[in-house]
Amino acid sequence: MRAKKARGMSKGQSKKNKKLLLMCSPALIFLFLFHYIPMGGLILAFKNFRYDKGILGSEWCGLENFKFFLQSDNAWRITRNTLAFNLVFLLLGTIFSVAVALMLNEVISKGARKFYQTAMFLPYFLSWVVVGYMLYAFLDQNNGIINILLRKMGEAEVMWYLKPGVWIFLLPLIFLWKSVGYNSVIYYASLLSIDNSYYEAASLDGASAWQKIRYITLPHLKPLIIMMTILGIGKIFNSDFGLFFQATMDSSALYPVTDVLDTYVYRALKVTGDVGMSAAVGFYQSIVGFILVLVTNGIIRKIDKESAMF
Amino acid sequence: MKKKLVAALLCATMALTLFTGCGKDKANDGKDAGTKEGDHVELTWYYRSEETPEQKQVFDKANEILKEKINTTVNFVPIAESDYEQKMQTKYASGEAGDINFTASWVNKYAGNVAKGAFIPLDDLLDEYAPSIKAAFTEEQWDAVRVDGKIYGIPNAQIFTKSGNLTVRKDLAEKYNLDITSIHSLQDLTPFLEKACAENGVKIERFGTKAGWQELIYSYGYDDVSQYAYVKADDPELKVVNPYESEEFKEFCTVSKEWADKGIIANDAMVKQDMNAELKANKIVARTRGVYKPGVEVLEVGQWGAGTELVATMLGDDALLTTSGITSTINAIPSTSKHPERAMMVLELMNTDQELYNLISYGIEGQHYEVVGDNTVKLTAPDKYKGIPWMMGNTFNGYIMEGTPSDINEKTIEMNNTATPSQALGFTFDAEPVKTQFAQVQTVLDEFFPALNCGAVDNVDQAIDELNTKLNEAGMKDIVKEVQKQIDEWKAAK
Amino acid sequence: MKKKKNPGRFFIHILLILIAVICIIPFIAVVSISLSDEVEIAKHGYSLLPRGFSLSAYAFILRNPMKILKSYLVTILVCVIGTVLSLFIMSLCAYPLSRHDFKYRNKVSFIIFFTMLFNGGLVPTFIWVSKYLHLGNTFWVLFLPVIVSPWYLLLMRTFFQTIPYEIVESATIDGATETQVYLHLILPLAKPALATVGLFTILGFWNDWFRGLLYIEDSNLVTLQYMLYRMMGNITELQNAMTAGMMNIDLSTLPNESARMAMCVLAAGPMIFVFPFFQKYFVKGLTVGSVKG
Repeated sequence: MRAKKARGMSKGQSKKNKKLLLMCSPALIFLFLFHYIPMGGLILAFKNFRYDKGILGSEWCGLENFKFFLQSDNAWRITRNTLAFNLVFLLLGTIFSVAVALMLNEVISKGARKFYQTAMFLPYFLSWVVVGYMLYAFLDQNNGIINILLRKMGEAEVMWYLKPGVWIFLLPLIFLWKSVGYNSVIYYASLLSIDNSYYEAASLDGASAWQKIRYITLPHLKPLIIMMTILGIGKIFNSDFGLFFQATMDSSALYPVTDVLDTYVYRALKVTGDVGMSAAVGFYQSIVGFILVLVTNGIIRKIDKESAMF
Repeated sequence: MKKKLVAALLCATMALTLFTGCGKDKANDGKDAGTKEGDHVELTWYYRSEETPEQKQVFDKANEILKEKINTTVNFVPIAESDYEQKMQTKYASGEAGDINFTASWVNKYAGNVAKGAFIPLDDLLDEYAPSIKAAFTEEQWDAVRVDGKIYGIPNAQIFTKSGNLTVRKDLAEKYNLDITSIHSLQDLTPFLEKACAENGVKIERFGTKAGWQELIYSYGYDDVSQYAYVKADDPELKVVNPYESEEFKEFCTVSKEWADKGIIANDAMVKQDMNAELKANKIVARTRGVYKPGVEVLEVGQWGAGTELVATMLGDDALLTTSGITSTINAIPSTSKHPERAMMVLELMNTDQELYNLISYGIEGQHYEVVGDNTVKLTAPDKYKGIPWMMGNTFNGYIMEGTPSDINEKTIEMNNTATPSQALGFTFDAEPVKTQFAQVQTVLDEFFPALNCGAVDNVDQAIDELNTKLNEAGMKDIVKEVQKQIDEWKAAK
Repeated sequence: MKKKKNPGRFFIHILLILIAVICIIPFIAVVSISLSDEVEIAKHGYSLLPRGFSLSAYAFILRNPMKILKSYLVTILVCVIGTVLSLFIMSLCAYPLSRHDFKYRNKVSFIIFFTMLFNGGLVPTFIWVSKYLHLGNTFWVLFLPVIVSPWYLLLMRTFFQTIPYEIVESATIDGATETQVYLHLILPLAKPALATVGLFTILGFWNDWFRGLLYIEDSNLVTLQYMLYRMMGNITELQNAMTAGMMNIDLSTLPNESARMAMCVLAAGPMIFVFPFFQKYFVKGLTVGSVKG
């Protein structure tokens, strides 16, 4: 019946679609101007870029620019670290952000809610450089607050910046500390649009608090969680440079655990500063992310068409 | 459908790139269209410095001189130190790099820029418009900036030599009767450091990759002809070696380990990026650096805690004259400059006209500095205007700073002239053919080198072996081979 | 709905307080260090309370107050103009995308999404924006290139999807045009979404220094973060140049650690006061109330 109706209204439909498309056009024009046109520069990944020859005039060099990280001895280590940390971040980040949003939702007092939200937002304002220094104040071998405490308690001090194992846990902690307040705002804002009558009805039916979350709140958040996850997967080969570089003080002893694609590339290219090689890395990250997103989106489409992103 | 969409998008972007590319090429030719000799021309000079509030007054005054003498005005654009590399790279790429640029062996790197076509050769322009610059340097010194036989940049005359530099706190040196002139190597210093460090709670400055091996290579007689593979400065055969396999490196690492074990090097040194806080808190007894120069004990004292006095000496046998030393500060003309001959005239004037040079270097007399003695000045308002003398021209032409020895210029010139020229002086390595290996070798050094530099290893031999295994896997041998090939060709051409 | 007191809520408070404290402590430390005496820090390290009280770090940064004020002005202008424009253009696009009956929904979403993964890279973007669009060294370059953020646009779309389609349908049956629906129905309903994205956008503009670094040379157009970033860099670069033996300035007069922290306070401070403004829209029931009314 619906299809019939649609066909009947096809003229109106096409007019409506045009109108809606027109509403999209300013945004599309900006995207085209500032994203799609410069995208032509991706060909730099396959070129031996010279200033005097320009982007087009420079010679093609095949996959030469990709060699330095794909053939590297450390390729496996970098890939493993990048993927593992990002997966952990994606998982824990989502769980904690949603949890905090749910908790905030339970707080009745407006004042308290504002206080919690503001407080949790604070870490977002500190740049990674500053976070690195703060962390150093705690973990410094000789004057660090933690080691001073350990010494006072008669324990052996820990060489934090020389112990890779510790950072497997430290990095996710720092990540959560800095990002949960920020991300929970997104989920919290979405919770606001749930119609209270659902909860009221559920209460009348004698639903427990957990049941309300399970059957009303989470389903409501589902599209948002799915979208955030898809976007996160698209960036799975990009890592937060500040976190892995500044927070670890770029300590070489920690590389076995903390060396990710972005830090590796930074170190590799700081001497030559090669435009083509850095373009190659960006291209690689994009392609991998793109494929993963298409696969994920495809799977979600199969299961639940409405939730897929496109 | 999705595939079609992607294809369409890619086509569109490709088409636009083509358009962009064509436009770019067009913009490159047609130099100096329309301007005749003698017409007024405005140039742009990018250099690496902080902006200061009264710079416009200084630049206006400088432009009065420039306008009068060569009918040119220069738009001086200081770019913040931290951004310089990044900004210049994008400027070269978009062809908007102005007419004069600061470049060097250590920042906005000269050799790489030349290899990528950022600058124009200056030989003819030098002969025609800058006879006194041409005459200011010896052929040997010119060789340092020559790439494939052509000059692409003009060095700013200053200290050119490289050598190990050791500075020690004067109070502690006196307390333990250290005769600084008797110290020639790191080992010589061990007995003093052992006592000084144990009894005063101080350390030697050593951190991460710095204040150690890479700055002391000259004192071991090496010339860093490329970033990673060196030659012995006195080797007429010019045999390129991997320095990390050398006896000297082993010796250095052994001393470092001994020092670390004795508490002379801090136990967290390899984690540090700098030791400025320690210097200021007077927790450092001595430091080593890569340039010894006359007056260094006065020049460096500002970096230490208040009230510190220093004594200094040169490590190793001789100061070396190397390509990297001479190329440590250069001005070049980018290939997209519309008025290269005017740019050369400006540089000539900057290197010969004392009034102009001093103005740009120190500001306006009475407002930014005062003359306190014969050719000696004191900066009175460094927060209002701060020039960078060693970036703008011949430093021997300008005032000297209060507190430095009055004969500092003569002594420096003498040191430049008497230093032993490296056999490889004049050779510039083009890293393009091995840039993949460069990238990989750097990451290996980042990982394994700090521990050796700071003595934080259990077994020196084993650690060096591991480093070299990794270096060879990363392509160190290719680099050595390529450097050898280029240096042989260079030698043959000479 | 009446909420009863229950032990669960008590635990929630304890937990949230704990998290809040963990988040606040480093911030207090930053403020303390910014007020500390530099030499004391070098001697004793950091602490949670100021070591010796000194305003020299702020004096160092503010020695040129006009410059700071000017950059505050530039930043505020960028934030206000940029955010308003950005919210308008993005919501205008997000609304059709949230409609299940919009035929090009998937295609347009894909076009938007694609730009999140692929970008031309620094150098080509610079060449295009500065050489062909002639936006280098202009006020516009500080926000135009990022006025449409694919990521916030898609976020907004997802938010809009939670607005029941029936509302739109009933409005169109009443004869409202698409624009009217968008302006008079959707925008008021989407306040929390607009507030969230608006908050993120304004923070993005506020915190951005990289575009300044790339495109700006005119000292009248330097944004606050870019200036602070430069000062931050200059402290270390000054030291680097001096360690290379090339300069001669008394380094001990330069605050280092405390100045870094003071910059952080100056840069983040104003945003902390902006936050509650947006928070106002995070009020439960706002959406529902207006639907029913």
